[in-house]
Amino acid sequence: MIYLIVEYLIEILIASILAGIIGALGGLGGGVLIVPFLTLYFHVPISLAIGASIVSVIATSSGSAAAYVRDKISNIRIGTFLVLFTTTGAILGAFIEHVTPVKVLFFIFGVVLIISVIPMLKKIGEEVPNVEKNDPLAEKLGLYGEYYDSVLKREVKYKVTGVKPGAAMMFMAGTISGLLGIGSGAFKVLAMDFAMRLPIKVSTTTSNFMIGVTAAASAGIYFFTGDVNPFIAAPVAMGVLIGAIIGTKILVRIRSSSVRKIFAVIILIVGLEMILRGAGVI
Amino acid sequence: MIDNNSKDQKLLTEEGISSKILTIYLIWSVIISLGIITFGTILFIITGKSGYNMGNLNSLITAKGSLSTYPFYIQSIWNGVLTLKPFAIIQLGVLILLLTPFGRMLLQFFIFIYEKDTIFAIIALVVFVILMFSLYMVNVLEMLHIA
Repeated sequence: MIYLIVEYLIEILIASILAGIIGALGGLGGGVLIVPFLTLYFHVPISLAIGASIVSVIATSSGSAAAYVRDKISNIRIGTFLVLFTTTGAILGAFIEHVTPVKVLFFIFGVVLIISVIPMLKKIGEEVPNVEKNDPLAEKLGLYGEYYDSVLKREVKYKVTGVKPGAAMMFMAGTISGLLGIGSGAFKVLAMDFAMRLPIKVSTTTSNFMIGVTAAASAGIYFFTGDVNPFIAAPVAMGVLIGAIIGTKILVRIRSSSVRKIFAVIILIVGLEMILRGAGVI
Repeated sequence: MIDNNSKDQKLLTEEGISSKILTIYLIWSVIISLGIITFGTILFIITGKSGYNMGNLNSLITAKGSLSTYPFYIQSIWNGVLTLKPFAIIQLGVLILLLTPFGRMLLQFFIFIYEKDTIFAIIALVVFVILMFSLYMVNVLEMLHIA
């Protein structure tokens, strides 16, 4: 019996490493594929899959945040201000998860997966958007900033607009994170990009800072309601972290655009599978 | 001009210190928590025992936390760790991992205070309170009998 159990543990570990690699190469966190993998192929109940996934999100974001702290591109003030909204949303999301029927969760997950593919296919975000004037709130809080762009080889100063719609979108991103146990980095970047018009480099690095804090707001709820099963959470946390490290190493060596498209297709298929499961077809 | 430069330099080193503290904190939290999780997992594989009632594979992967399956309260985790129960050890590692961002916000609060940035010190503190409030939500869910 124990051989069977150990074999299963190793299978989850390998699947998590794969999810971590695909996540890193696709520019999404490893978390997005963990829940589908665990539920569709390992027959883990979705609540436990979400509990394991949110823990792995904290592992990878803390690991990579350590690298981003030094680069000075991420805007800690914007991040700190916006996690006010993502954490509140995450608590709501975790609450909703506990009262939502399983089939509906599958369906929402599938839809979110398909939406997250959009930024992978279409390059979003201007390198340096031209914002004329700071939002009054951004002015007051001093959210604007500057960073050294190693590609453009100059200091880039930027202004910040649309703080209120940005905050509202962050609340939504937080809710999705808490509801589905994912980092929802794609949605955070979209909010900073569309609403607040931040340079794309600032959006992505700042979102990384926010993901871990946001995930912690719902992870506590999943953990203390008994939804973090150590038999599943342990191989998932280790696997996704290992996968993310490998994925990041591969990423610097290959040209990402065509590879991204391949992974976008994978995520699209998995998203469809989740929707079909939600609809009760499979 | 010279004055300006030295001021910039001072700012840079101050920033350097706080980002160094944050980096060390984040890296070591991940190393320690993942180390504990790995240790618990290896112990589980070697002994073939979780320290709790495992049942068959199917009950193992569908089990929610309870007195018989795996601990999820601090006291019961700690009791299990003291008696070297593999699942309790894994849970300790997971708990440290998930509390890492809590500590991170607290650190950020002190960094803002150190930088004399009162508004953002307050914002960081509020975020920390929201995180603590999330733990209180567990009681709410239990009261509503949905957890």
